[in-house]
Amino acid sequence: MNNAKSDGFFKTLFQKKVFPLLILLIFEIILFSVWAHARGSNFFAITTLRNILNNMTFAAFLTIGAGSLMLAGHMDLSASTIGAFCGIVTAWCIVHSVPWFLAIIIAIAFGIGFGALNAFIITRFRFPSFIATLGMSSVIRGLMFFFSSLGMGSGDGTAQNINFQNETLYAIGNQKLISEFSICVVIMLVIYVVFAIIIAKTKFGTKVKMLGGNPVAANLAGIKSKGITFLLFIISGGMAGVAGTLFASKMQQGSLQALSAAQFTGLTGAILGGISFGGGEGGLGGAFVGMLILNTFTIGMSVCNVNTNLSTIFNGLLLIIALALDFFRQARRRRV
Amino acid sequence: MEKSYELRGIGKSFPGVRALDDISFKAEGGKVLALLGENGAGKSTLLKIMNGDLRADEGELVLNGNPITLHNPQEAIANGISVIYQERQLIPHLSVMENIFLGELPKTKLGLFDKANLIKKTQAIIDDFGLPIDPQEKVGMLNVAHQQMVEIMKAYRRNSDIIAYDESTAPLTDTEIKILFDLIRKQKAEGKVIIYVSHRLNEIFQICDEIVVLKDGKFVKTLETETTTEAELIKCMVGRDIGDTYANLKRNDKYGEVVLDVKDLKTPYVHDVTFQVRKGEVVGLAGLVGAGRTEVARALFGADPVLKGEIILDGKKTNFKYPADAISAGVALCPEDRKDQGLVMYRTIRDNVAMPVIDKAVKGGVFTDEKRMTELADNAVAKYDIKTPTIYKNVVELSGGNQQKVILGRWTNELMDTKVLILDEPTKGIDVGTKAEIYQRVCDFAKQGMAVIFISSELTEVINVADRIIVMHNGHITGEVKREDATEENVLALAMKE
Repeated sequence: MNNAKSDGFFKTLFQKKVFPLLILLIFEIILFSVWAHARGSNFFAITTLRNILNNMTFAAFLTIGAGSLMLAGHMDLSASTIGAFCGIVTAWCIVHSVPWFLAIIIAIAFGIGFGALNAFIITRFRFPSFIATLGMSSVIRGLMFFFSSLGMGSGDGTAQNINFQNETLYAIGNQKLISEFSICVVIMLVIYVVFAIIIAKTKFGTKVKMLGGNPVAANLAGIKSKGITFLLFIISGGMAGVAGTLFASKMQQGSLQALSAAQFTGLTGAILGGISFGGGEGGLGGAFVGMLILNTFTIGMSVCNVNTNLSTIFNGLLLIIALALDFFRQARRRRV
Repeated sequence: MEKSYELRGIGKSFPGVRALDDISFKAEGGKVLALLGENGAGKSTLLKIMNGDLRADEGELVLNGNPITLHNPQEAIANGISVIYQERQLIPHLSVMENIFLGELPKTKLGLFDKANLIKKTQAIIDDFGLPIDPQEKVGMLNVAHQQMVEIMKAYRRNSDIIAYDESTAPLTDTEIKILFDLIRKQKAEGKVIIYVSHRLNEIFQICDEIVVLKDGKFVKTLETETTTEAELIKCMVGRDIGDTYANLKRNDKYGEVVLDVKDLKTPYVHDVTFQVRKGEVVGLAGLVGAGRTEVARALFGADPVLKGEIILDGKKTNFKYPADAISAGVALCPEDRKDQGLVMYRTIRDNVAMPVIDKAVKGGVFTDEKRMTELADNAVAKYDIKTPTIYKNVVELSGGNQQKVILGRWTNELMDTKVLILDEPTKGIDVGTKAEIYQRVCDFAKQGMAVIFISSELTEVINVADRIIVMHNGHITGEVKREDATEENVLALAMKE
């Protein structure tokens, strides 16, 4: 069966759409290298890679949650709001003289708590996750505005960003650890790899994909969905918390608008990376390549001195194309 | 000129499957030709090719003596070819008349939609059929039989020369079947070419002149209805005599102690259900659709809540909250609906076989043991002779019979310890050859010491495979019959007993 096995492997590679994505990424790199050269700047450099990774760090945390949830057929639209909330919590704690490590733990605990609450609503009342998290997103945003207006800043009850100063947190967000890469980027890479392995190789990951492929059949084959759903939303909330805390650390500010763009990038990366909207197929590795494609374009445009706003258009177009491909694939399946 | 539709050497392959191989026959005007074969014999594929929905890899289509090439169903319609598919292709939110005239709605001189004319034209067709259908009724509001008749009217309206009916009588009652047959006789008299696909042999003998038999994508032979018999047809279809299938089963005759003891079971769907199953015994659950057989199975499996009563497994009272609890206690269920409830269609054979034992096939505590999973699947493929080039194929690409074998492979893999196996309609939509194989498997499971519950709506099947038949009606058990005493009549009488 050796022969058949390798056939299966390559077929899987193509089905997961990772291979064409890698080609697209290489094409991008060549395009920008040549273009930048013509314009007298340099694209193919370690600093470019640094910029790309810096640019995608926070969205990558959200992709871990969004990607894993999509594999199970769920979605978390509250992730970026949870992240911003946790950033505000971090800032509030530092301003109120809480030690930095405790501030991080408290902030991430909030993220995990919100994730668990999302899961509770979805499993207990059988709401579609799309609706439950959309509602929760608004609730959390409201709480955040309320919280940030209490006894802070002008004290007149208007919500505002919370500025703070903490050397350790600043270092975590900005100091270089390996070569050009900051502590924050290295943390992202390590956590991402860990979760990619969890999804690809562990029994938990296998169950997630089964559940996403057919929840009814998975239940009748002895896979309990409740615990898995809870864990997934806790991962999503927790990762949003990590992203929010790191973002606040880097900026030395708890921002009300933090991560609002990262939600979109995180989801787009996951879909572009071949995680099917219906669930069940794909993995976090592909999602990472999807994110690289999006961010390489943004950085490439800036290296080539093109108005970077154009890259937002490109990102939107790529999302539409990725969704269209997913749609056509599923439509073709229905015909067969 | 004489109308005809001829196929010459048609061949078609899908990835990993040779669906059709060198099919040649000629359907002539003024005759009704039946296409007959088991599920998976290639009838549907053949119709799709005749209709331009699929392109043949080899061979040619010859219409009235002229070779033609069809790129899509619209071209087929333009050439006077209409296929009435098994799956209705109606738009439920549109009215009967809009569905029938879709794409060719009559217009007034101003280019507006001519409703009065449309009603008149549609009513004329409905009158031809003699059916009580309102042209302005939404199709979704009609019963399935009338929906099917609207589908037939669509083709009738086009007045095609070549008409193929694919299992058109399946949703019809006797009244509509009579109307349809009158229509077919009329079309035959007009010299049209009629192709009739059905599993119902008695219908074929009633309406058809010639029968083309297909098996495994190959042409077997053409028979004249007048000179053939049902037995001969079945022999052609299966390639052997199946009359002895049941007689040849190697059954288990040594029963052990009681494994499953159900007392006064009450769920939202069934009441006062009491029965026992012994080790090595095959107990059949018979009854009409909606009698509550599936619901008993689901309750035993922890998929439906138990309101009252006891389920005792191996002498211990159980309290299953989830199917997962039932599975770890040794109860397994092959659900009625393979595609929606049994399998994760877009995952591999391997993953589907290993599904309930993901927690057992592990290394290092948390990582899936891919090698072990591969072994389990390889063994299942070998044991049940699942036809596939590799265990890495998604189950959606397998035939119904092989899909069912994947589920059997799941519940009997080496990491499972199944004591009670519940099979809910295990042969639904499966061809005759594989059915016989599954019957023998059921007996083998009993020999291995499992207690088997066999649920089926096919009476002949359940009274011939099970050792003892429990009959249900309306959520209650109405009686029990031993195989030796069971006849279709006495089981049916119990199934309809109030």
